[in-house]
Amino acid sequence: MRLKLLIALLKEVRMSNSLLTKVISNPHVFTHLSIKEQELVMRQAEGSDLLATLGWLFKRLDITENLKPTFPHSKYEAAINVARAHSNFIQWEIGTLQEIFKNDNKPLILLKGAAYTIAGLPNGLGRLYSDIDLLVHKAELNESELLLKRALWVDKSTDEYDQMYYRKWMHEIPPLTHVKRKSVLDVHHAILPETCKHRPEPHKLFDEVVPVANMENVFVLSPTDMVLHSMTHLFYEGEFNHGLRDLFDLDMLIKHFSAKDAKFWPKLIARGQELNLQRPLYYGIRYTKRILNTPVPDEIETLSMNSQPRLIFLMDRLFDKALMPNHPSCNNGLSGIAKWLLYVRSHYLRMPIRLLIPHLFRKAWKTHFSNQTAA
Amino acid sequence: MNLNNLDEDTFKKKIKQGLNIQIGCFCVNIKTSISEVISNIYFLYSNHHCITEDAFVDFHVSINAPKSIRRWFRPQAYFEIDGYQPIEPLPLAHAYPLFEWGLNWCIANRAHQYLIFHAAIIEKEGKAILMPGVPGAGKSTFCAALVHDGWSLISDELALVDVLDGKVHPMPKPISLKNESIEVISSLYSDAAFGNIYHNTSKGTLTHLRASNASGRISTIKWVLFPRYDKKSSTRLIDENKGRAHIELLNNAFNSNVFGLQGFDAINKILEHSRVVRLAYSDILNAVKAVNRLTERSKNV
Repeated sequence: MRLKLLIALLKEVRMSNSLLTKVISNPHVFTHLSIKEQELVMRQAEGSDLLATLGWLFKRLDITENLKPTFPHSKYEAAINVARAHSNFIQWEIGTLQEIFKNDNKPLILLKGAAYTIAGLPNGLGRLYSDIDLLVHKAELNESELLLKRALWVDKSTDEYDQMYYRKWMHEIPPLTHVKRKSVLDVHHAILPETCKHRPEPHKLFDEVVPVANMENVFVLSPTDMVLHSMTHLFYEGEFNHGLRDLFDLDMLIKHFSAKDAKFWPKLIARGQELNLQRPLYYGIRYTKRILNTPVPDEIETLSMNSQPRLIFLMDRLFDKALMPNHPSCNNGLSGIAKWLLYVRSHYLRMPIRLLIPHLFRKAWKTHFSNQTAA
Repeated sequence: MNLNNLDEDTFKKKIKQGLNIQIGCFCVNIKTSISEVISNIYFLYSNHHCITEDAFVDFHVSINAPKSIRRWFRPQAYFEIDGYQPIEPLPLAHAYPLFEWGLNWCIANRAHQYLIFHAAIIEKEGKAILMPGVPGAGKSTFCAALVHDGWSLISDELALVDVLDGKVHPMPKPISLKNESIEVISSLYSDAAFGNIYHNTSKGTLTHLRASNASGRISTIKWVLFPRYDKKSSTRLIDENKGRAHIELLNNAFNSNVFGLQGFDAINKILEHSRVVRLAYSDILNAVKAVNRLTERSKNV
């Protein structure tokens, strides 16, 4: 039984099931699909939080006009309406943060989704947000937290272990929730935990931040750092609920930056070495190309291969599964196991074994008991 | 093809595989193996259309009992949309109400192409009465009475408004009736077609009424009516201030945050072109007459 499971896990995932990845890597394919196939693409997109993104893609490429008259445009329009509301709200919320930080002469540095939207990057369109991510200097962490607390952003976690876990080991403090609006802020002081041996020196990121046009005192990471952070997040954090969306973020960022700057690729490789992030860079290049057909120059791909892990065969099997659309049609029952293995792996990468084992035990114990009380 | 053109056995076979049913502007693929749910759907949705397999489906839903040990020990039913469980499972005996609530969840949480009000809505000749619902005000009961008096059901629960033209789109599902209102409707209308009755649900005793006239079409809202059952009151219709009605409608919309200013303007437009009335009543037939007089009178306005 166990052997069977292992064999199934190692089997190649049938990527043919994921029509969505085919469509986002070549959107014009969509017009040639049957109505049932189009329906499946939309379902896979909805489950992966990519329906609004797909809608924008269709609009930008004039695909919407080439569909059959009976095509239900309202499906993606509904998702676009929601994404637009998210975007409006997040921009307004960033405005309030801008005031708070400006009044205290501190830069407001945005990461991830909030950064994509505020910097007007192509992957900001159609994105949904569960929180806003900030980067602050570790030396100013306490001060910043106090500043935010005065503006009603508070740390609601009361669990002593969680507090210790975040504040001693992690690269972020526990999430802050706005008392009235319930919005959530993740305040980071680095992009990988204190306990991770690959952790880049945060000051290197701060040195390169770029100001956002028409937004006084608001900054985002430089293009190379933004891409490297996105790769690090996807391949080291062990959360694959939005795996495909995060991979598509990478695809769009890479296409955008490499079209604007002919030297983007060599800069990315050099910066990866400088920040000690060659491994996530390797994975980022490998899987965007493998799954989304992202164009990567041959010499860059060869250079990135220097950081290929020995067990790449195994990693392919796991990532192929974890990066598929979040939909029953792409779930062969082993996606869950693949995601779990990657979750354990991410902890192993981020913490030394002597901290990791007790931590995972503790988490498993807690999950078990909170499930029992819920049942 | 109407659902009642299928014989029950064929229907049973098909719905176990997943059957497309048109519910107003949505095509829903329903899959279930629970026989009580199957027979209740067969009865309550008999006037709805089945759609061919190659149609574009809006929601793939299923309601099933798990195949685990819970099959024997306190059996449960769970609702899924495309493999995702949006609401907690319920005891197997409440599988059908769970199905109806699940379907409402899908529309209220996914159909953001519309501004969605928590309201009953009925129409005649494309002119609709919107009845926003304060819980306990008796909107479903009053809606059931009007449907028995010649109005067509658009929805007893969710009014779907297109913000561009202010028109309301149909999603006629069986009218859900609770507690005392079941007795009220069955005593008034001997031909009322009730589905099965469920006791001790989270909303008390619950049943569903097949709408004899479930063919509500895309309509324009002409009247906004706030019904309130008050056992001491005679039938009274009082014109309401539109500003106050605006606030109530805004609070009543599930997704006003999605539309923002556009939604605010859509409500303005609805109120501009409709008469806004508060109705207090104790005698439901009398109230139906009053509403019919009101709508007849302003028909040519």
